[in-house]
Amino acid sequence: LKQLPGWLFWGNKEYREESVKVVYYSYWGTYAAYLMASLHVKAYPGGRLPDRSLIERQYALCRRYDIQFGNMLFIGLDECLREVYSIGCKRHSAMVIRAQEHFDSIFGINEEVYYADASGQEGHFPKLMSSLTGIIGSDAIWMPLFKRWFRSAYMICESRVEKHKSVIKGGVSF
Amino acid sequence: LKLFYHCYGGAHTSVTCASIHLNYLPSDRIPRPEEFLAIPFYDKMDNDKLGTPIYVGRDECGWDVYIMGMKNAKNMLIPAIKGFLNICGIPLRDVLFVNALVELHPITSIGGFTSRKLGGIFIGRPMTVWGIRRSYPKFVDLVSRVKEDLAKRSVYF
Repeated sequence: LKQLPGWLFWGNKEYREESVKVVYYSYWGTYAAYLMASLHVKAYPGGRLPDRSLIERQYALCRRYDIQFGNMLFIGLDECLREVYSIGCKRHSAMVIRAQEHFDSIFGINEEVYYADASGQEGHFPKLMSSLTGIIGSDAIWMPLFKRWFRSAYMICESRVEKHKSVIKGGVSF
Repeated sequence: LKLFYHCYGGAHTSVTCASIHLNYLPSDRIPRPEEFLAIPFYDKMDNDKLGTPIYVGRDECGWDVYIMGMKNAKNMLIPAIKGFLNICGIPLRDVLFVNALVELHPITSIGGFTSRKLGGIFIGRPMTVWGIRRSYPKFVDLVSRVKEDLAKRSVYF
């Protein structure tokens, strides 16, 4: 069935579910939101920690781009070809969601977007690292602390991602 | 083509600019207080509606004019909106955001806080009107510059 043209399924719930865009949001877009989005698209493996190089890559991302709030980072496509993004919206997530939903209707876009909150998995470490790296910039200090945070957040994020996936698959109304 | 005047609360300065833009308020004189109070959206935006674009009207060049309240998060919210439009394939040249928070008289800010945050409309609303009347020429100047820019864009496209 899935090899048939998409327009045949217009209005069909299964097809519509696959066209959903998934946006993981949190205070920062590069910590828990990025981690969960990467787990969602299976850029990070399930059941075990990713390779050291991948963790270090996210660390570098956090060091460089953590304060770029409002940027929608495209993380990839999941197994159902849904586009997955992460975004950092400080404490204004409700306002961002409201604005994007209204712009969707103003421009007649009619995109279904599933917003997944990642702020509960972030903890206090990102705030500490983001605010103190300007004073103490050494990777020798922050890298081990980041890896420690990553390890502690990873399994929780994984279980949360599975829950979000089941909600999307269940055809929740957005 | 959509034009968004945005400010902190989406209740005073953005409404004033949009009203000047659409000729609901005059550009050649300072309006009377009752003229401000006659504008439907003046001092009306609720806190839980911040981030919602409100349609005000269409100008003579065909631009749809909206007002928006963005708190102090415009540097985050505008990229988030533009990013969203971008991934949905909407050309960003069709959208223009204008910061309506020009040099504001402090009384306007105090009045806005009193009216919108504390709910003291009877005290706050006249204060905002008083403050905006003091800085009204700046709003007229801003809107005229915006209109010039829009005219150039129309020629360009």
